[in-house]
Amino acid sequence: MSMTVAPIRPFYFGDPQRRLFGIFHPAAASAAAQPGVLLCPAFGQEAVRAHRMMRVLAERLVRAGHPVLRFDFHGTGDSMGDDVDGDLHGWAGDVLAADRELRARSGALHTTWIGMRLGAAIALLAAEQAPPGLLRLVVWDPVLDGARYLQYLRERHVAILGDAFSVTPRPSASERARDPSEFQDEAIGFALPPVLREQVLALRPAGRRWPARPASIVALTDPSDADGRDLVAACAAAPSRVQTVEVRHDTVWASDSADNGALITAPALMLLVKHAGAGA
Amino acid sequence: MTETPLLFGPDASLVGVLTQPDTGSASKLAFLTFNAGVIPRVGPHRLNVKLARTLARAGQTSLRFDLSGQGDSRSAVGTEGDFWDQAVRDLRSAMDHLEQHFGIRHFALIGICSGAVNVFAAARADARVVGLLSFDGHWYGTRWSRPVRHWKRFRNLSWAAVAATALRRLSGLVVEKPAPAEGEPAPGAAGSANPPRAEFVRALQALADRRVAVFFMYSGSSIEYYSYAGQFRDAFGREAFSDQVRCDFRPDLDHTLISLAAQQRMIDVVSGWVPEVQRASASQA
Repeated sequence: MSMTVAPIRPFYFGDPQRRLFGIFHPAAASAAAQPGVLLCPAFGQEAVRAHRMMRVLAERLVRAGHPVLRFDFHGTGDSMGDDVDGDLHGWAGDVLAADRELRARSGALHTTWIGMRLGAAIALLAAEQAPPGLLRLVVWDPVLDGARYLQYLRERHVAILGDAFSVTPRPSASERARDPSEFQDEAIGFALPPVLREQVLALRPAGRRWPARPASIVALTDPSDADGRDLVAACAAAPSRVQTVEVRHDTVWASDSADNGALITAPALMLLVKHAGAGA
Repeated sequence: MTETPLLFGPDASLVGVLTQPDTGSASKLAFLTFNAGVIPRVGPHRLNVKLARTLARAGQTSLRFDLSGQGDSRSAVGTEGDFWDQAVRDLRSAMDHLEQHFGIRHFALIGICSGAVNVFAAARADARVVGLLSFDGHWYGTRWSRPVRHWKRFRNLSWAAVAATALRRLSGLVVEKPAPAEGEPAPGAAGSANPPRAEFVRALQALADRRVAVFFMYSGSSIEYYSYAGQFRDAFGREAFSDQVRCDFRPDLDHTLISLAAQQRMIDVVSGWVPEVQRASASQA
């Protein structure tokens, strides 16, 4: 069956004081109608490194019949705002605004949200106020333990900065990192303002409450790492509408811009497309 | 300040965002930024966005966009040549679009990493370019490049590290990495060799004759290629263009501007370069 894929449409939307940049991918013309899919990106350098992954995922979803909206949170990517404006609750509001925009542009009555890393945590937060038409939330390697995530970002920041110069400046990044107050307000090129930092620190895996909607939450995770094990445990204690799907990969999204590592995680790509569909 | 998404180029396959100041008067000059390696159009750590907004506050128009196959732009179909040729075509498509739709006739190109190679090639190919900033692009060594590099590395070592290295050398465990040759690629620009020196001299002289504001910058990540502030002057000081080309060595900046402080310093450098570009543009009016 031939499939006509319409060109993408970049645009700005939302509150004039908080204009968000989005790219709308219309569904392939001949594919069976599927729910709209909203992609919620990761944070900072992880989002930059995963940009191609999100684009390819959108293209695959389009071919499977989904209209797709990718967007940048306020103060990130091409959206209005500065790095220092980062705020989880504001970003959760951006998810809801993007969901409305996706429905308006596509005519879809139902949507699926796919969130990656911190974007998954934001999508879970936004789901507390989810519209009735939200069918499913798919979270991929979600940040559940904020303290561990911040520690990880700090370690990556120090390692990347330490390798950045031909002649290591003194004191080196690792020497500076012995002072716990160093590298608190930025992570691999992006600001970590105090408000955001406190909000991320408040994310805890133990006793987490899953949002009442949607009816189906799918968590893709790698059980070989601590985050994955925490997620499996959190899901095991969750209602039956929360299921985990194992996806093992060694992609390090928090890597340097000049890193020649993988930009696409193929096993996750296939599973994300599969679980975006209403019937998966 | 107004930001407008654009689709342009063949089959509207290229994606960009135009940032215009709220000055009301039509711009005759625009700054172009784009991908550094595989980084999308927002630039290393969103530098291109921050830069665009700073430039707009200073009354300057800019376009950040994705080259073919990068970021959100579709791959080129049916064109000849390699990535480097296509990048020049894409930069010229951006200039064509801004000229046709916004009346902009002059352009300043800012290239980082592989982008530095792209802006040099595009400036050679298109007379509308009045300024180019090449960050960690083509490089040419001198007889001092290597000893200075060794000295900088040595003086940075702790005594313990010096002793350990000496021991490893004595035991034959250390084999010195050969210095890069001039024919090797620019930093981060694998697949694109530096032009032969004579060709580079001719190209720079042609740009100087066109009164293009040429600005080479080298970071502290690239001292294998560029190890001291006077390297460019030592390499090309006898050429007629040497006083017309600016070259800054910034060992305090890294190749992808990881820290927020490094990003701000880079933005300050570009802001300080704007008057040079404006003079170049005015001289060609």
